[in-house]
Amino acid sequence: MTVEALSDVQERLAALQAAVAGAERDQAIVAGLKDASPLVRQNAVALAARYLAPELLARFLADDEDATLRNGAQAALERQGPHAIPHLLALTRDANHELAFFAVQILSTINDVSAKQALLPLLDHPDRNLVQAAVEALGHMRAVEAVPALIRLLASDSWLQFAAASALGRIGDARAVGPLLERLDDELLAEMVIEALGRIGDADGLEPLLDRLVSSDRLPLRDQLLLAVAAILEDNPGLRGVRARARLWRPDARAGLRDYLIGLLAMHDAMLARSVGVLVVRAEMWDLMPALLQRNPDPGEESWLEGMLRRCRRRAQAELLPLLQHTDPRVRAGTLLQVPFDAGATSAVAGCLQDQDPEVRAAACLALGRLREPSAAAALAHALRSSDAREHTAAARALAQLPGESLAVLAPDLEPEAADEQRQRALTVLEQARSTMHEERVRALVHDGPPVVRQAALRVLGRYPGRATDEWIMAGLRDDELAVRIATVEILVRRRCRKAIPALIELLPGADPLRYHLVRALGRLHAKVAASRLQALYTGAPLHERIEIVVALNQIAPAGVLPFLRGVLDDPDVELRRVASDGFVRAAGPRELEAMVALARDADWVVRNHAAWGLGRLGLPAAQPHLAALARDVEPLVARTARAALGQLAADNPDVKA
Amino acid sequence: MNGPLAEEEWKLLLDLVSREFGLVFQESRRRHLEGRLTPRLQALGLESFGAYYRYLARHPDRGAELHVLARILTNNETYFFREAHHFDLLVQHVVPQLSLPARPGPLRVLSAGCSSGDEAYSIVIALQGARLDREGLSWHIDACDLNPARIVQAREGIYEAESLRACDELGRHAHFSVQGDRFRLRPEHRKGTSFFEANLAVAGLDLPGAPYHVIFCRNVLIYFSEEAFHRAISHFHRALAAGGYLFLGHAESLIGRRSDFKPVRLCDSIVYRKQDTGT
Repeated sequence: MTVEALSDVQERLAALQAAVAGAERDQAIVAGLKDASPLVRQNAVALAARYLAPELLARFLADDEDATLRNGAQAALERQGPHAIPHLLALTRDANHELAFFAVQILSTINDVSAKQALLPLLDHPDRNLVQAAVEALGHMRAVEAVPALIRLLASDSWLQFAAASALGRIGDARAVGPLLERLDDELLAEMVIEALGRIGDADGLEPLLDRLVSSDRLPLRDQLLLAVAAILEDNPGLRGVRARARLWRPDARAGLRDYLIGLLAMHDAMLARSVGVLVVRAEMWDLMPALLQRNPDPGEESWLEGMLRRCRRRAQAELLPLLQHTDPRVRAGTLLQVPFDAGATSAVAGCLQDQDPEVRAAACLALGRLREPSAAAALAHALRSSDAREHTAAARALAQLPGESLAVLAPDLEPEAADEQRQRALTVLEQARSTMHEERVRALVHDGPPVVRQAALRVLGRYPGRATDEWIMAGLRDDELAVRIATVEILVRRRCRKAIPALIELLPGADPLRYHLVRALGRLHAKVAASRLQALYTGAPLHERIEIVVALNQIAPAGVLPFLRGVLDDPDVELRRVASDGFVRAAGPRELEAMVALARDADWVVRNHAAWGLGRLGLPAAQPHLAALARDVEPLVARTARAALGQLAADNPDVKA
Repeated sequence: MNGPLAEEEWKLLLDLVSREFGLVFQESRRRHLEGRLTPRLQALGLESFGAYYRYLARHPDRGAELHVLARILTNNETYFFREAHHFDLLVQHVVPQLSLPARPGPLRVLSAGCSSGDEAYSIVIALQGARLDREGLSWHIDACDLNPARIVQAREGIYEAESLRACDELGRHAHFSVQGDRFRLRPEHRKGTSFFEANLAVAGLDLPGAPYHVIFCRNVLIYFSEEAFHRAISHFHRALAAGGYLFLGHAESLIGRRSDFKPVRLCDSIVYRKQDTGT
């Protein structure tokens, strides 16, 4: 593509869009499917799914001359989904085996359960390519009905064996384990068989895989064995005997395995690292734990290791507590973060608060928080005053986990002479802990100190149970600082404080940025009494507030709002029309069917999406043809919404076709 | 009854990101992106991604928030001498082929999508390391990024150890001074660099330092939509001098996608050379 060609593409795209309304629509779409530019073809596929009949598209599937057109037709049929299924099922029986092959592939992508039974007989078809496509499709659909036939195919030629093993793994039925194990030493098939056994996750597959993992030194086969072993161990948390089996490994084989596993931990592959972790913990290979714990894990990786160690907590603690003295700070921090210590380890963990490395001190704070040990409160309060952000953030999280009365240690941090930052940190702890301690001091701070402290104090009060605190929080609506007033509005909404509604309405005439938040708050509080005030405000409000007024009215859903929303639907601003259509389809009754059908033909996909949902909500059989058209919308999300609505309509009305 | 809006809000947001910045996010990155955007919802006092979308679409302060969003979305990994062989190619093959003695004025290079400046400064270090300045070569390295905070960081020239992961101990001491647990680029390596904010995905982008002899744009276009990709490449085509070179990341290719650049094999790497389209 050249600089000039790029503008040509834009022109062809515009021409294609314009042709949709013309008499030459179908020809223009077919030409678009053959266009040299992927951008144009992509748009043509969406239009073909919407406007071309499956019969026409299927004709292009048989086109050997033009692979681009064939690919476009295939993509369009996939997007048509259920609409195309009856025709595709018929095609699977076509005398042209290539056509049948493509039909099976498309059915596989559509993944509709209704196709399973029709595909089963194809497993005995004389055309090997067609059999393979059917095997892959049934695997993709997780068709348990196909398992006996797929097991038979494991004894077929290697091409079909491979596909059958893969499909059996996807289906995950334990009947396949024995037949798959018989193929484990087949050079060509081994990798796929191992993967399938891992996917099935049945305990009977474990020992043969484990033995080969220890003895094998072939890559990437060994990686595959490790992944499969780990998958089976994770699927069977109660499975015993792994440690006993590990003790039977020859020392040289064990050393080889150890080197291999350590090598993997140095790589940045989270999946393999997790598999190493599973094996190390279940086989209790404790000498590998430093290598495992020193990794800087991805977010979420810590919790699975901790979860696994929790299942052998006592033994893990006994073996791993000495690692708190390890020379490598990454191992010390990793141990604190990932080993689920119990109360017996409190003093050893608390000792790490004096570590030279700030990462280790932060990790110690978090470990003490998990222990919920009140005796650690004073030390954590000290860490909360640290200048190191990692340390004081971790201390705040830990303190919030301690039993409520432990937070008495925060008293000095809330005193008037404490630094603002110190007061803010202490208030954050109280908020996270939902603590009501130091109530009097917190209430005083609502009026005292800089805005950040006042906001923090209000957030603490916002977590107090009961309604007694509402009045104190509402005082924040009169704060001099706009940011505090905005924060107060949000806190009141989160408390579902309906008592505040009159005060919020009273503030509406003010034209400052607070009004944007007030409007949204009244909507979220479903304040029916505010509906007329919001409608009155609409005409003179700036655009962004008008949008939020409509959203708020949608949430409040007052009686008689439909004429108002109908008026907004005529506004030229697309965002206003979008929110108005959302409200309209939620409030509309059967009388508004015609208006909904008009929305279903709107140029904007969001409005059409709302119409699809709204037509489904009405549940009228008369909506069927309109939903059927939307089910092939150029925008896949609209098509999905319409298909769901159509399915529900058919379920509720036996005479309606889905 | 819940409406269809969760998916709709997400798509609206992604469409806006694609429209404003030309960036594309796959479904698989949804949770990651949600995690990065949630603090923004909290900061603005918004309760949902739908409210955030409406804020970005129509709120009077949307411009400032779009800047913040750009910063969040483009906070990608970068470090000194990433794909180091490209810098060797620049000094050993590309600069000599540009017939330097006959070329008037300085060598002009653009680092597009420069992030915190690691690439632009790596170019300077490579040119200085080859002693090309002592052979009479002068240069001007322009560097641009969508993210204004990254531009500020680039101008500061202070880096975490992570940014120096491809530098050996000798390189660290030669090119940086230690400042606490961070590293400050030595002033001599800033020579001839200038940084500015630019969105490569918008139409009509003006690159003030053009024409360039070489453009680096590596590991940036992988996040672009097809349309934004072609638009950016067209900007580069316009901004390059005749026969100028374009360096892309290893996962980015123009082969089969553009006829206005010719792939050239240099050692074991592919770089692209501007073809004259006769315009």
